[in-house]
Amino acid sequence: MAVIFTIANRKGGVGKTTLATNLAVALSNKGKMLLVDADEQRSAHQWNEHRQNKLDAITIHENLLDTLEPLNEKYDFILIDVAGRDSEIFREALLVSDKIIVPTQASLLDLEVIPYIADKIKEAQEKNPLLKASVVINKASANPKNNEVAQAKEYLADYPIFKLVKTVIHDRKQFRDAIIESRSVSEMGSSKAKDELNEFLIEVL
Amino acid sequence: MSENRFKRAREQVDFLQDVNSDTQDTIKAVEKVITRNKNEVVIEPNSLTPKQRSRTRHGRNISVPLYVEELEIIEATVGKLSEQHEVSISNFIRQTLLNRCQEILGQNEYEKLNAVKRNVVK
Repeated sequence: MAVIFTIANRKGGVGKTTLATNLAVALSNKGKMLLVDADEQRSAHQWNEHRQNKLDAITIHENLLDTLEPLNEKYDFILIDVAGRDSEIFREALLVSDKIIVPTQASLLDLEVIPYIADKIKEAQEKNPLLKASVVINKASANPKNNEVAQAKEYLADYPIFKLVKTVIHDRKQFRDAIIESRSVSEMGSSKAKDELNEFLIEVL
Repeated sequence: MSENRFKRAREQVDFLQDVNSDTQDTIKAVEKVITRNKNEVVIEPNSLTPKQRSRTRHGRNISVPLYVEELEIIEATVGKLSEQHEVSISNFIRQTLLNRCQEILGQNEYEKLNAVKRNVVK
């Protein structure tokens, strides 16, 4: 039976697909992994299409449960990248996932969806007791004078339903380059982005 | 076990179809509220960062008449607590009340109300 990960946020543009593609490569190194692109933009799918070493991947826009059930026994890991909105697929993913990782930027506009997501995760946990939730601050400013991250951590501490990932992932060019090159930062040269990803993986895997 | 996971998920029809269930609750326009002292306050949806937002500047007050000894009990309690950690009377009263509200309302209703952030326009 696969361990099912979902990367989701109700907000778009928080770096879900970047996180998903990097996590997908890490999981594929640990076992048999299926990447499920459930976002109509199909960014993860396109990223995979241009890879030299393609990962097992599918795109789904409806009937997540029916599609995943027969695949559940064939993989060690299933990673679902969900679109940035509340949808039936998002709800289905909550009900069958072992882990949901919510990337968020540190700004108030991004954080204001957290109460809703926390509420839905709580409802889902009553129906899917296996579900564990983490939130990671993503695309953070690398400017040391910017204090949004400290404020965001304070805000997120009010939502104990989430494990707050200690590693903060910053808005780094290496992540953007990796997406363009259809790679993970872990497949590229040493960089702060790679270090951050490794620290993030240690915490969430 | 795995069949159960998917079977169980399919049975949650209400949860699966209840998408965007907050939309009606969270979108509230500017509203005029009459206080218990018959004053009018204008309240608008919050657009401030957590750092910008202040209870003093953007919040509302509650006045509760107390006997002298009742206030002294509260002051003595806060004095005792402040030996262990920094605490003010306002913080103590607010947090004690809110904790009790959470017990009575339940976490769901409490969080639903707490998620709708609004500010007083001054």
